[in-house]
Amino acid sequence: MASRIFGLSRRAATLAALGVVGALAAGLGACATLATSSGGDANLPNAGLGPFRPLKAGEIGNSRPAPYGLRDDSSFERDVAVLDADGDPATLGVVAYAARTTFGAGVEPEPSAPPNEIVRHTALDGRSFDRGPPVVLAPAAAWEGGTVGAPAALEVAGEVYLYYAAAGGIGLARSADGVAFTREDAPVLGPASAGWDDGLVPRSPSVVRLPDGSFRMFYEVALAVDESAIGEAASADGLGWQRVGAAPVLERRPELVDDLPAYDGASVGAPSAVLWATSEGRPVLGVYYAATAEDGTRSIALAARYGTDGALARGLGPVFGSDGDLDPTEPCIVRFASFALLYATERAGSAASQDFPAVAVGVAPATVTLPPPEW
Amino acid sequence: MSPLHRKPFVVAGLCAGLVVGAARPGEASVPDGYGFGSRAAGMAGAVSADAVDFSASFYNPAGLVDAPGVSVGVGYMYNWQNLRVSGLDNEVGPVHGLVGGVVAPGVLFGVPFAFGIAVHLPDDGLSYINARRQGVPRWELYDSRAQLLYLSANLAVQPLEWLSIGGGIAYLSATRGTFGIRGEANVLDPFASALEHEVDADLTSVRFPQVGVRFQIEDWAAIGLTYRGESKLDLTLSAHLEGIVNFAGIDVPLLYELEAHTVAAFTPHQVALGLSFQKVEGLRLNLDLTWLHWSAYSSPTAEIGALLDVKPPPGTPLKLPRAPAPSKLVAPEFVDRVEPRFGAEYRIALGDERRSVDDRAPRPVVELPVRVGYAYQPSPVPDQSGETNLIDADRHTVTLGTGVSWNAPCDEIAGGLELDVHGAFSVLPERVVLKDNPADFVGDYRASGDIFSFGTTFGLGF
Repeated sequence: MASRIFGLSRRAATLAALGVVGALAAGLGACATLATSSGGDANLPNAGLGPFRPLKAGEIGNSRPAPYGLRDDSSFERDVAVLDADGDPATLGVVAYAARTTFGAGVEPEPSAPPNEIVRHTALDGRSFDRGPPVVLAPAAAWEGGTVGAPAALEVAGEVYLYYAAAGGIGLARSADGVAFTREDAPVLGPASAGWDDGLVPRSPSVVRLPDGSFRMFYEVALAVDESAIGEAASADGLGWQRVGAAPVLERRPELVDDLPAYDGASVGAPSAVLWATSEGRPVLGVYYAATAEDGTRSIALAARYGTDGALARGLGPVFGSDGDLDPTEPCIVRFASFALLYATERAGSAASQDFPAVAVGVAPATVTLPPPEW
Repeated sequence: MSPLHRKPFVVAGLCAGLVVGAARPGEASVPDGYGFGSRAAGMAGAVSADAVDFSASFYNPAGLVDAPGVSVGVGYMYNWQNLRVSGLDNEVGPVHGLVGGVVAPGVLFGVPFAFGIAVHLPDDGLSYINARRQGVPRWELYDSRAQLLYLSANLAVQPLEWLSIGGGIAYLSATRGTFGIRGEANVLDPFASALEHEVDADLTSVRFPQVGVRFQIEDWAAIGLTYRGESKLDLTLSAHLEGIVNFAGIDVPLLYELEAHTVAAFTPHQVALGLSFQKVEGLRLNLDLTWLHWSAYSSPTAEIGALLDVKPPPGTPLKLPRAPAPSKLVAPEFVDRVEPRFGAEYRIALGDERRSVDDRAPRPVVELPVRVGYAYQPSPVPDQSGETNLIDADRHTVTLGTGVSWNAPCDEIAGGLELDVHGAFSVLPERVVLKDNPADFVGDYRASGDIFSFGTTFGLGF
């Protein structure tokens, strides 16, 4: 019937049409062209292991130029070992032992000269280090060959154990106050007499104390001019060490990873060991290290294992420095309550005049807002 | 022409940011996750065998032909999502929007037929997609699925008194675009820069089929069977930056190309079997079982290819960013799932029965429906112990609904006026994720959550 539409009278059809038009108008009127974000990015899980972002201007005090916590073009302070001053992750005070080179009067400072002093800095906020640090260790023994550097520090029963690299191997000095140190007469880990690193001098130590009270050391061994590997040693008392395993615990990956060259395809070294537990309470022993790719790109990377023994599994990518040309090395990590700070030695800048080592500071998670600097 | 005040690398970064920011994975249509119309939502979506209003355009198009007359429905729903990881709220946005549709039954060549359309309109935009890097945690099935327009158009016929058949097409919106900059930038004198830029983007749609059949058994039972096709949005965005950067009189040619491609808003093949029983006057009991082909799920990670070609003169102190490495996608390996849904409706009759049109059954003047439902949606996402962090958990949903129907208030509104409301509460029990790699940057975590939903629908039946 012409006067009916879908069985409706004209009046009812008009009402239906008005309903449809009204509904569409209400819908379209409520719609904007562009949608807002759906959110979902807040409080996402993050283990705080990296990647680290370099500190920005304003995040570091005491007139230190971000991201550098230490930057001295005459003594070239570098290779820091940083300790949480009170062992409480909720507070940010740290003590840092740094290697540096002191030159005689009239000698032009040379960045590549081996370090000959270890000094002690403090920072109330974890990164704005004080100035005028005291020297706590200088070469004295013949086996040190006139150099001490690459310190690794940890607290043991109220004492500070300071491991360091010297010409003849890895030495140990101990102190009750963290300032006046007494060294062991001989290296605690010298060149191996057999094995994969037979005759090679270990250097760049890092030591952690395991939950059972024993010690574990990771160290670098130079296998060739541009290639090093990381070895592992164990000790019951921190003094006498035995090498672990018949091969490096970490070595370069020349093979492709996911069809791409590995970020550590040429060399690994400068280990820095850290203990932590996952949010589910699983204990982890992690080793941050300096990685060099086949194309010469240098970065800081992470490998770790559950528990204290076994193979180290690498992270998916570098944690610091992979997008720059400053060649970071000698990492050190301090984990605080809600973030972690990374201290790494790298070139003080890209310019030729900045081609000397300095200590950059990074933070993870990268989204964290640091408390104001304090010094 | 427009001036550029930044170094080219900043521009390049903006290009990358644009691409990544404009492509974000949604995962399925809103009706899948939050219900469609208050009656259906109040019965936990267990209406494949008895939906005859506009919601039939989603649940079972065959039901359209059983509508007693032309009807129009419009409503609104709001879903608060409180999704947490390790106890902290991830601030996943709410899902809200208008729903509505039309059902128009008739007779064609002596065969009952019907036409229906239905739509979900997000009320803060037509489409929002975001593609995160692989490994970045995200609530895979919840965080942006609501930001997509859903539209469905269907036809249904009833060749036999006990058999109804329906089908149609559903649409989702998608985006495809390009972004380009070319010209010359002077780093030391940005106002002397001369750059051209252009943006070319389309809002297109993807379509997927849906068909349904409905068998009426006696006058107290019905069986519905619905198939909904798979759909996914192929999102591609490319950026092109070409020009000359002037560094204090030194011209540096620069070319930066970037293309991002992602598959978003994946909706799996679905087959829903629905049963509806009405043995007791006024009481309807429904059961739906829906199979979802989640194993076909595509990785939501954007594939990014980038090329940076800069040739600074030797000795130029220029620090160049490295182009992002091509991403190797990890297969999501979702698992097919069957979701059970239960729904019940009891209609309390008030007043005398009245017959509005001769060929319709008499109905009480006023009816007060009470509805309850329960749905269990097992998570299709496997344990995230590896590189990806597609957060998800099983979901238990309890629903309640009520309303009022004023039947045949006047000659022009021979069907009636209906106002329905619904509320739903979903619990996502805690799911623990333990990482295989101790050096995983995300680490172990626990995921849990709850979702509270509310909606209302107004219907006008003729």
